[in-house]
Amino acid sequence: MISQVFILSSKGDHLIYKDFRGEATTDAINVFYQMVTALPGDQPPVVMTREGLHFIHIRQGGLYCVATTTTNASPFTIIEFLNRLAALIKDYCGSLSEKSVRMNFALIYEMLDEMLDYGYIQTTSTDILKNFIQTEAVSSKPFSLFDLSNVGLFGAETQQSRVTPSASASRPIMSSRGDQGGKNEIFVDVVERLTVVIGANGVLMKVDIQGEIKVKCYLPTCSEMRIGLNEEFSVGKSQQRGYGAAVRVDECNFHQAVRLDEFDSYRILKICPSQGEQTVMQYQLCDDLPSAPPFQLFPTVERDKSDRLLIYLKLRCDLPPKSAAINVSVTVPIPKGSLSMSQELSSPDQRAELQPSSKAVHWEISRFPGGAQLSALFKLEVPGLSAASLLEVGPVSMSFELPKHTCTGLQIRFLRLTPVQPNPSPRWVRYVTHSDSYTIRI
Amino acid sequence: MAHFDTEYQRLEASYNDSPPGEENLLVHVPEGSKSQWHHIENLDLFFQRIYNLHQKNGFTCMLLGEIFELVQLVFVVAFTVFLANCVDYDILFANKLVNHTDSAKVTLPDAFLPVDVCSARIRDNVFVIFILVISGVFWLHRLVKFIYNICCYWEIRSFYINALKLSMADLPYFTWQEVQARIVEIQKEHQICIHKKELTELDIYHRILRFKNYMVAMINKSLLPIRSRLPFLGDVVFYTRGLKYNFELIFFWGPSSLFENEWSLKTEYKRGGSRLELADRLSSRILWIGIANLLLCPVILIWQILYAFFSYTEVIKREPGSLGARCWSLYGRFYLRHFNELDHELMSRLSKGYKASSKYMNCFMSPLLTVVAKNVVFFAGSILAVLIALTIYDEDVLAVEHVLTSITLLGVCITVCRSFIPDKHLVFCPEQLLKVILAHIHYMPDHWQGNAHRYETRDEFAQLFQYKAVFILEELLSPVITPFILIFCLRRKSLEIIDFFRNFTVEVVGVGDTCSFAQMDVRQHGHPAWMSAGRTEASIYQQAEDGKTELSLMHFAITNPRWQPPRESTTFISQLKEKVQREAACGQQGVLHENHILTSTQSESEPHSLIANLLAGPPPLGSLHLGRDASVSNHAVDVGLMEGTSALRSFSPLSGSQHLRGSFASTRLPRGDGAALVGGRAMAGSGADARTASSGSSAWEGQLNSMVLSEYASTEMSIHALYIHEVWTPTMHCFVQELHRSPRRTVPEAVPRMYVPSAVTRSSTSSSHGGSCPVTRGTGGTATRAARVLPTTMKDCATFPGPTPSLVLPHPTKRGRCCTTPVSAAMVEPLVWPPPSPSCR
Repeated sequence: MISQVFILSSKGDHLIYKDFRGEATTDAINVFYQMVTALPGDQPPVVMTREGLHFIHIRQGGLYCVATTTTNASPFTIIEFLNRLAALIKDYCGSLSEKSVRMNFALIYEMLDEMLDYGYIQTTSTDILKNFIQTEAVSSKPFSLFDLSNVGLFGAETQQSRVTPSASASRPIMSSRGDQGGKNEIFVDVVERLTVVIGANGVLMKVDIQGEIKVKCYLPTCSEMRIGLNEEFSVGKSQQRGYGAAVRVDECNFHQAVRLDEFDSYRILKICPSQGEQTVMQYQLCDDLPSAPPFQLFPTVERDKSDRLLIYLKLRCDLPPKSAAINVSVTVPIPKGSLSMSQELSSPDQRAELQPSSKAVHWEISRFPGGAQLSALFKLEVPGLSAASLLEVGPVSMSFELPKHTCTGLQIRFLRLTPVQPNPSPRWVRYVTHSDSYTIRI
Repeated sequence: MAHFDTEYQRLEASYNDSPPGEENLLVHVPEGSKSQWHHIENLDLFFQRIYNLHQKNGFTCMLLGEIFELVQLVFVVAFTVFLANCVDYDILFANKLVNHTDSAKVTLPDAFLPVDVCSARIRDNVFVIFILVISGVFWLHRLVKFIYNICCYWEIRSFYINALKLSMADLPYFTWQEVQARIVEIQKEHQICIHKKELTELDIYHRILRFKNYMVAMINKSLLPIRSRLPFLGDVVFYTRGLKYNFELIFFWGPSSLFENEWSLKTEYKRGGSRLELADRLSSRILWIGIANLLLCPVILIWQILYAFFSYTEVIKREPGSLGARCWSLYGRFYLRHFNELDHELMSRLSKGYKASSKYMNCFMSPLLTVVAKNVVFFAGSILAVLIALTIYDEDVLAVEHVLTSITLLGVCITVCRSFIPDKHLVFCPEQLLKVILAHIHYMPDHWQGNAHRYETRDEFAQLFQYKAVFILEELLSPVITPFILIFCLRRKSLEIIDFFRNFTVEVVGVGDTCSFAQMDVRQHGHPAWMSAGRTEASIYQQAEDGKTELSLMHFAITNPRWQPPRESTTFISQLKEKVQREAACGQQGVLHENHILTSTQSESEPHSLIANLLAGPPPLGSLHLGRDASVSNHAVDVGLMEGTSALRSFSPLSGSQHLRGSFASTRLPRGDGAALVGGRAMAGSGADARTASSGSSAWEGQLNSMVLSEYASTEMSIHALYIHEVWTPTMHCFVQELHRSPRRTVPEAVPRMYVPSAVTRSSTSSSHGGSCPVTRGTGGTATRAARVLPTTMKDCATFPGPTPSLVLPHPTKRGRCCTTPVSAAMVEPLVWPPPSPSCR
């Protein structure tokens, strides 16, 4: 039983608040925010208790979605409920952000009314809720030239008809009555999360790839969708076929609606997707990266005569030359007493700054083509530099996004709908690998 | 989903919503590439045709050849019918007089019957009509096939010209390896195979040889009923082209065969569940095909007889000895074939071994036959002499009836008998000959070693290397025997066959279903007795016999230096090479001495000719003529010889540069000879260049073309083959010795046993052998090495009881030294470049 549901912005503003049972006071919001912010570190515990009131929260898109309960309810049910709530907001409002929640508060209240009754969960299904929700989503779409250029001269296929920005997947599903109806698009995301630890000698110490295939479907009616993966996709070690470069994962699991009768022989997933976003398949691969790790770092740390700390970083991107990494950011922890920094970067489109609060140097590269090698020299003013403070440098952590690249090599061969639609709906696929944690020891 | 900056790409529009159930359309062909050769559906056929066109030296040659074949067929049938029906033999034999008015001369046209009589005779004869109809249908079938082939090969021709950039005129002068390299190259551009980004050599071989590999594996595992024990003839191998055709029909491409199409086995055969039922189905299919064979037997028989008659009579008339000449039997070809070995590679290998093989077979003259033949020659010769003398005196003798006939017959008789009389100067040295043969054919049952002089060995070898006459006879008998083999022998094996195809078929990405033996995976199919002990995980059922996996792997890696073997195989190859080279290195100190023995025993400058070969082969090596320099002859030969091995070593794709450095060092070590040193350097240098050539540099092309490389490759393969065969027995040999010896005086690993006994026993200088051999190697090293060998030898002995060694040498270290020299010099060389005079005379 859920007493209250509320959504807070990261600053603590009340965006949504709904009390279902009257068991707790409005004060709970402030209590929760104090608890969350009072804790050191980034990640407060998901479940917290204060004076007999249990707070369960998730954090998505910079927002806290919180549910409170007084009874001893199953925390996982509530976490799952909150996740569904976030997914529903995404489906109905397009995206989950402070702005979209502010603009669509009426819709969200309406949704909460349907989902919960006196604190008991009624339904969280997008399809069922669709029948009850009447409010139109208000989407804030900034005017952009990009939309205009989608219209090719004389109807010719432009570059834009081959790609579409990632934001195009973030529009509300309930748009049939709206202005942009009829765009029955399907978006497929293949997202891999990379966890890598590289030792000081450049040896891979830990590799872990967590991947998922998500489908966001705007089709109003359900029809069977067949998603073909690479034919050489194999699960587990035993199935490796031949010497060819097979796409291998250690294990995978599927959405419960996925039917696998063609998976064994043809690597086809069959699913009847409902509107909105679903995670069709999750997979993971440990300790066996099919290719080289995307980045190699060659660091040098030394002190010069005038007691400055010199950190020389050489970073190489081992992706194939056609692909590139974007939004690369390198964080180098530095000694505590560092005062100022001067820097020499190898190209102008990089930025580096010293962050005194976190005692780290942030080096940001907006675009890093494969096969390239960038270097940076940071000279740090550290009063009272000692040999021990040299040891405070490192380990370097990186975050990045690799567009159009999957580390396992998984690809979507095709996506087919049955029965055949009269006017084929556009299908889009996106392959992304991003770093969960990419740590290089120095 | 919005927190990534990555854009969405359109999922290719060519995947339209096709109706369900069209799984065959899953493969996506991007619109982008406009190449005509993009995505070839039946790559098997495509590669086979490319290979055939290359082997037949271009389109024109092939076209002409096929046209002539068609014409030949018409001719054979027409001529036979004509001879049978339209010739008045009475006139030809002068039994009937021709009523010519002007002269008494009989002309050939007189003997012909008039056209109307002739056609009437043909029309009345049902049998002739039957034959004509059959051959007409056959010919039409051939014609249709010919036209179809022309269309297909025209496409292949344009592939050669447009994609491979090879004109038809140049084609005969390109090796297959070069053509293949171009195919691999253009895959990147044209994407002929869509399942893979890059083709490897192995893929191409797999596709061309898919069914052949299966056949080789089946013969290797003795699955096919071609060996039988007959009451009087003993062990007989019967394998003819007709039988082979039937096997292929049943397994691979006939109606309802095991294969769905060229590249995939039917799915039900891949599952073990219904094997009994499938075996039943197969056996009934074999029965039907056997019955069909039985019914068609008269037709095929007549055809075979006619064909044999017309193709061989001319040859027999020209040189009667050719019937006695031998050829490699069909069984031999399959027994000796490596996995993934193309026809031309096999042929060149076997042709190189031909001389030695026929010499070996000729060693065995039956003394009884010799006595009889000598006397027959005497009597026949005297009659012939008299007749010839009379003819010379007065040529009217020829006009007497049957004189010309008897002269011809007597001549034939003498020629045949003479082949039974051994050459006076022949020396009986079968063991060495067998070793030479082994260097080329690479396979040989283990019990032959040491028993080369026995008649049983000869008989078994004769199964591989049969008389041409026997070959023809078997072919003639084949239509009669084949149905019975199919019906009575093959059917019993149907369950085993089903099991074989299920167990030994693997699906390889980009190739389809292939025989798993052809993967040459030592781990899966290696035989512990053949160097892969410890690496192989194969059960006895999975092991390839005769070291086929190991030798095939070696052979393939050597012939295709650019091929990247899987990791297990790479370690196997490199370890084997290392061992061979180590043996070669430790053999180097003994080279000098050994050469003396060799030269003295054989009274033949075998090593010299090897050096001459090695030196004369590539042009830059040719500049090193001191190998043939008489003054430093022996020394230079020694150095050159060992440089030869090191050059070989450096040719091999996997050897590192340290080998080259090693060869430098070794050049300086044994001989201070300045000239030889220079020579050694030149050698090593050229070896280095060859390596760069093999790794894809074009700078070397002008100097050392790939032909030279491939010639070296065959020599290298011979050395490895010999080595592997040596190791097989000595491991047991070592073990047996081990039982009687103290552990310190052990034998070095992998000592070849077979050669040494023959060299010792047969050479008169065997006593000096022991005395003058320089002992430089410490026994400590050998002890450790032998200790490492021991476990494998134990296992070998346990699993493979072979012949116990008949000869135990007095000095173990010396044996280690003696080994490789003969292997590299006397054994390998004569066949690489057959010397003018045979080694055993």
